[in-house]
Amino acid sequence: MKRRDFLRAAAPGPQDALAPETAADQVITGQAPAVQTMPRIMWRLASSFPNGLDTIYGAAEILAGRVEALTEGRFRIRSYPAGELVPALEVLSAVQNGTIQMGHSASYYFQGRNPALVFDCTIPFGLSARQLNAWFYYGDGLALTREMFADFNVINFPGGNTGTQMGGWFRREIGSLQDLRGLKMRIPGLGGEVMNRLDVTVQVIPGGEIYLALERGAIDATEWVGPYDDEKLGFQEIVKDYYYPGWWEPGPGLSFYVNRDAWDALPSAYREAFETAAAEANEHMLALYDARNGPALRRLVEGGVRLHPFPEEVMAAARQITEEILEESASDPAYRKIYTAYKAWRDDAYRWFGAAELAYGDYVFGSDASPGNA
Amino acid sequence: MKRRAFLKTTAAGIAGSSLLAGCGGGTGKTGNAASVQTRPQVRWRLVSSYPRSLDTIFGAAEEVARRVAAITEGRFRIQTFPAGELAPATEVLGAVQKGAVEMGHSASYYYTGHNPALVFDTGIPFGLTSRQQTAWLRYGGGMELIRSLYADFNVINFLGGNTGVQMGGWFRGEINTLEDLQGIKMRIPGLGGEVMHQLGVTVQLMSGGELYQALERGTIDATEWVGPYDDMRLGLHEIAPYYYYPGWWEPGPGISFMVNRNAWNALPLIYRKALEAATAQTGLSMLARYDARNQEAFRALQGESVQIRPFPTDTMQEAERITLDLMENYAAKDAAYRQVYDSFRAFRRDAHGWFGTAEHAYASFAYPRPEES
Repeated sequence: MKRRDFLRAAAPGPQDALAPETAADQVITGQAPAVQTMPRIMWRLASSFPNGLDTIYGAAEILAGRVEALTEGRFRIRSYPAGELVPALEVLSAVQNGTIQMGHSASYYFQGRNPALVFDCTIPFGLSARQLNAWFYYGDGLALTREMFADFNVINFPGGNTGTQMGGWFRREIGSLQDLRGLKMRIPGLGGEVMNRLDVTVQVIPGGEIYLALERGAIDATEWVGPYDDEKLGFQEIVKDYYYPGWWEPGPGLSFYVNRDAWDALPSAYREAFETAAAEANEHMLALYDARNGPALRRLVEGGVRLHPFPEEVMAAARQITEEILEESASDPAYRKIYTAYKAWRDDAYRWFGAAELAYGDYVFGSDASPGNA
Repeated sequence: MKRRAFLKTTAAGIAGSSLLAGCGGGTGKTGNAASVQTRPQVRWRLVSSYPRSLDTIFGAAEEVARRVAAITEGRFRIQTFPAGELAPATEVLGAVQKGAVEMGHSASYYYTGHNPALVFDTGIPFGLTSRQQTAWLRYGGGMELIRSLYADFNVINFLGGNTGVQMGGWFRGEINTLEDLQGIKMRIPGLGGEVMHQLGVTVQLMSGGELYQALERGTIDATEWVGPYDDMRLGLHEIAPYYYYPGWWEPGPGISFMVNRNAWNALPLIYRKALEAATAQTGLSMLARYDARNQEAFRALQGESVQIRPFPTDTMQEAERITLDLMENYAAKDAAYRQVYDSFRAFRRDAHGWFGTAEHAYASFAYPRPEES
């Protein structure tokens, strides 16, 4: 723990940055000496994730490592797993009030503070990982989410993605909507709300307690992330039926949050370094999940796990209910603004991904057609 | 050209720079050394295999240059040149190898004449998608293998973007059976062209700028290019009535940055890190930009009188069988090829198993197929 160390380390933070004049023209001409522009800065980053979720937590470390390398060790970011500096769900407030300079989290954790923050992360039947990146970087996604985060004195950066998650582990098979009735399932967030309206008894349990709850029958089902993370928690030892897809998390995006004052105090070269490093961490996290999930899924199946797609009627009903829930929230004009933009983007993205990407997927991994898979 | 000018700048570099000595307190565990020697002025030239008109791809090289300059406060600058200005499109590797330019942006499959295994750095027919290709290179052992191939060229390579699954291209007639491919004249380069040739297609090679006229005049019956955004800029939708998908020969082609080893070794560590980070960032943003532009173009296309059609499954199966034979032939002749192919194949098997589950089930439920919308 050693909280005092952290508090001490934090104090010099933003004040260290003494380059108000950094200036874009230096970037262009490159004439001025670097003296004023390379101050020593030390930030603390609180993650909402434990070390155990090493692919997600690792993204913060990739960012920190890269920023340090790009500034010759002058701008350093020390990252802390959930709970060491602040609890997982208080990362946004801690960044907002400047207790720490930055955080790494999932914005849907903070929908209590602004329901539209879910669009920075994911919604059921929302954008895939690639689609979300396109919306952020080349659509209006980043501008719209930054407008929301401005209310918290925070600037946000895309900070990784898991890809489409799995639907989770079920003690009994789900052949129809009927089979969901009365099922006790661990599923947080909007997905949980949808499940609730499908008559599931929704439970919210932290990651570390799920195994025991499932083993003892306190819950009948749980979702977590995907093959790699799920395997580590050991659900396959208890339950053999593993459902897909996690329609409530088709491409959840993580975010880096930076306190505005800390950001404004950075020299422009550090900001560039940070932004580049954040994008790199964003890409690496997904690539690492993509590399780890394949072998993990193979091991699970070799160990006797049975894979099932959710029945079409479950998916269709869930999509319908999701739309109702989102429409209810959209009575708020600020929410409606971002929801409308997100939906328009999704319509175009789905249409395009329904052509070459989907047809290629249909052939190569969605069917037995490909002789290369034999 | 002006090679001497650039050599001069590079050499002069060390002199110009900064004086950080002694600044800053003892907070850092490392950073006590003065940065004087480490921040010289460096100027590089980058030659792209792409014209400015392919602005998403060419733009990626410009973005790397901009990023690197911004991170180094303008000390490390890279000037970008489109295809043909310093070297022809398919001779970028040679130019980088010789040191005529420090850096290139190209697709490795242009250089299979030098080493056939380089194809895996870009992708093969029925190979990996963009996400899978990136995952194989970054975390599946791919990068080590490809870098050992490029070491023979005195080059170090970096990921430099991806287009996503391309479209199959524009056809003057319908393709319903394998029979329909017999004797049609199609512009399609690379391994895809080899496979098409074995399917009975008369394969043609021509540059992007010639396609519109060739298709209009009937010199060719079909052509592939990239995807909706780039294809519409060439106006291909004005001529050919059928637009086929998917481009099974390019399911996730990766573009690469190539850097001359001597130039790389001469860079201060911090500039290497800047270049590495900027290329990674660009790899991500090029794909995002294609995704953004293609979806907009595809919507526009659906308002045109174009028939958007899937290739028949048996055509794809035959094409894949031919591909597998081709790859096997290469591997039989070349142990280095075999080594990369084995790694690629093992990764593909697991990746396809995984993407066939959550990703594909979701896509299959949620995305409207063109014939449905």
